[in-house]
Amino acid sequence: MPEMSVTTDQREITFAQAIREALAEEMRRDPTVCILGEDVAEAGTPFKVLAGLLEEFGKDRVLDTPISEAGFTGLAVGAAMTGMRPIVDIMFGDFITLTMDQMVNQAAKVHYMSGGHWKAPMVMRTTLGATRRSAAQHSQSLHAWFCHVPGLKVILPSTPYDAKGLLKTAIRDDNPVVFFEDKMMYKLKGHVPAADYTLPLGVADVKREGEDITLVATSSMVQVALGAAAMLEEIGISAEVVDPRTLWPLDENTLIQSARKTSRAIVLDEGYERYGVTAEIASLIAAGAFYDLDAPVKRMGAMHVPIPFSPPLEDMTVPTEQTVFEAARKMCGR
Amino acid sequence: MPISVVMPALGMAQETGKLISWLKREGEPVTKGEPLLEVETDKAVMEVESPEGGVLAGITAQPGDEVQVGRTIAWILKPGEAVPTNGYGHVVPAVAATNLANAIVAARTAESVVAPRSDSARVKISPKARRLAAEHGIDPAQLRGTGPAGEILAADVLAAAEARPATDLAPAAADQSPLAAKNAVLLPRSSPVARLMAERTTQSWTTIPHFFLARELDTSALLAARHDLSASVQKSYRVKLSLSDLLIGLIARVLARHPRMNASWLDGKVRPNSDINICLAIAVADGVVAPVITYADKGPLGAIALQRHQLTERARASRLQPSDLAGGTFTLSNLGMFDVDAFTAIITPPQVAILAAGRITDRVVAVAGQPAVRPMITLTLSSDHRVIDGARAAEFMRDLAAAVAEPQKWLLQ
Repeated sequence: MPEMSVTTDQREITFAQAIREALAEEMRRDPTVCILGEDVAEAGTPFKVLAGLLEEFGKDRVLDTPISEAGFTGLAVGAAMTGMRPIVDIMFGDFITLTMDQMVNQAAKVHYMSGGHWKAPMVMRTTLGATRRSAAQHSQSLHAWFCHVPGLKVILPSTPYDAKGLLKTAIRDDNPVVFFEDKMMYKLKGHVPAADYTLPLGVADVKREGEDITLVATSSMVQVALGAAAMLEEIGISAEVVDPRTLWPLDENTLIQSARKTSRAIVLDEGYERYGVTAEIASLIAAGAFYDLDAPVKRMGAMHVPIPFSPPLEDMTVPTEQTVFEAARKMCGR
Repeated sequence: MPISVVMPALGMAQETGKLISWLKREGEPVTKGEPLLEVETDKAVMEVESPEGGVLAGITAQPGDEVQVGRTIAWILKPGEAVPTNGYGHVVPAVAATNLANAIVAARTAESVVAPRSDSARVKISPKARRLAAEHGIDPAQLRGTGPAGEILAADVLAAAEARPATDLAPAAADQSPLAAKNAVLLPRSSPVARLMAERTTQSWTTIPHFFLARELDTSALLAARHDLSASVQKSYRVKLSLSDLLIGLIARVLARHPRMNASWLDGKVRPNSDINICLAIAVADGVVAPVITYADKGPLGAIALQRHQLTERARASRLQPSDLAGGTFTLSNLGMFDVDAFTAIITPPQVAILAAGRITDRVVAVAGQPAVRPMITLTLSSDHRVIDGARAAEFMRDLAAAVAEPQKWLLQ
């Protein structure tokens, strides 16, 4: 277990370190917490997020599995129902396809169908995000699929601070929770207090305050929105960046109030734009802030194509600081 | 050559027009036919289109100004041109309504260059701006949008609310009595039609010496004529013949014998009108309008019915054209459909008379010394005593009574 070199209130750690800290702290606190997935033990995952956990907690609590997502997810659901708090690692979010029956028909339903007798307190950690040159099967952002299913909670942290606080809450939650990490964000540094803390689900965070336009952004798009906001500031447009942080439960009120304040909103999410998270949030804002809007709510998500391997083409499929800046500028009539 | 923009005459005898707003700013490019300004005439608020393409410059009239018809209020410049300083330039002919014939021609011409004001429902406006406009009592149609596609935004409404003079506040602001405050909430803000109605009737009632003559007439023959003629009108014109149509036809033919009743009072003089154009007062949502049935003394009754039908439809849809409202020489106001027995009406200047028709209802009257039941109507004539005296008005009413008694004979004349 590598020790954190900085332990003051101002310390900065990476997103990956924040995840690792949350896991380690919860595993120390609660002996029922365990990790299972492909390459989670010796390898510490290809992203090295879990490096050191095997050494501290041993093979009984950090389990390498075969390449069999449906199988070990089912294993986790059963373990959760019988008293454990398993954390399933699905290396690439693209492969949640294989876990769907276990998550949607078993984990999400068991509490309801058993009349509250059973529960499935498990966390599925997985990834999203393009622009890693990983091609069409390793670059998708499919979190909208889980948001569509009652009985699952869905978390999309965008900073090291949020990641740690929300993951600890997710592990302590008695419901199945899916935790999406942007695979491009693991090296992002940010302030994380050394002291133990958790963050509540269903509470959005205003990442930047502004007056002229609201940029609702999730996960990877939060940094894009903050970059676009900085560009907008240079031409005199004050953008507010709001991060819902959890897509279910969803803090509708904060999103609507922000749009009511600024009169304009763009919703950014790296999932496919069609039938996606942006549609849901844009619709909530349109309904909740209708009489305070000066323009139709705009959505920006991934292009409706398989993510290309070609770097120039891949970069065109997702919103960037430049495209968000242009869209916001146009919406503000500049 | 710079093209002048002049205050147009959109109605008969219109001397001034009130500039409501510029739809383009100084220095802004305009294309030919694009709405350029809004003008309030004596009848309605109209958009006036640009006579030429170029750049708007040299604006000399501001919103709210009463401007003499024909006066240059701005210029349309081509690249490299400057605003003329001596007042010369290619002046677009203003519609000088010195006499009725010109006015009618002018109004017809105006139809091609003047578009009816778009109603507020079709104004491009954001939901927030629409809500704020309602809260501030601002008509969005009067605003100019600064949105990416010209839509009205919240900031435009707030700027207009800020700029509005204190005198334009809701009436309740002046009168703090609880009742006034309550009414102010209940009554919608005045529309242009309602505001014009208030201005015109006040002007008429306070400047014209009105006097009134009433006649009670047996309408048996009139009802019979409608019965006899309605089938052929329906067949030829596909409209239902109304009593108003018959009355308009008869009034027009009687007016032909009484040119003074068909005259105008302008600049202290009686000016005869060569044509007989009857205005028919029509109730609409926010007041009353009186579109014109032209040449009512000529042509068949069906033509009157058709005109009346079309004008009524347009009036109710708020789609009357300037030409629909211009050139009237006499007005008929019929409140029979509201079961009014009799009433007196206010003259529409520069006309000199208006006829008020009550309902037709069965009454017991003496016929050859015996009580008999007859469908009676009360017609009340309001006349301008500067032009008409009692005897002349009585003669007109005598002939009108004769026409009502023998409608088919008069209509065939």
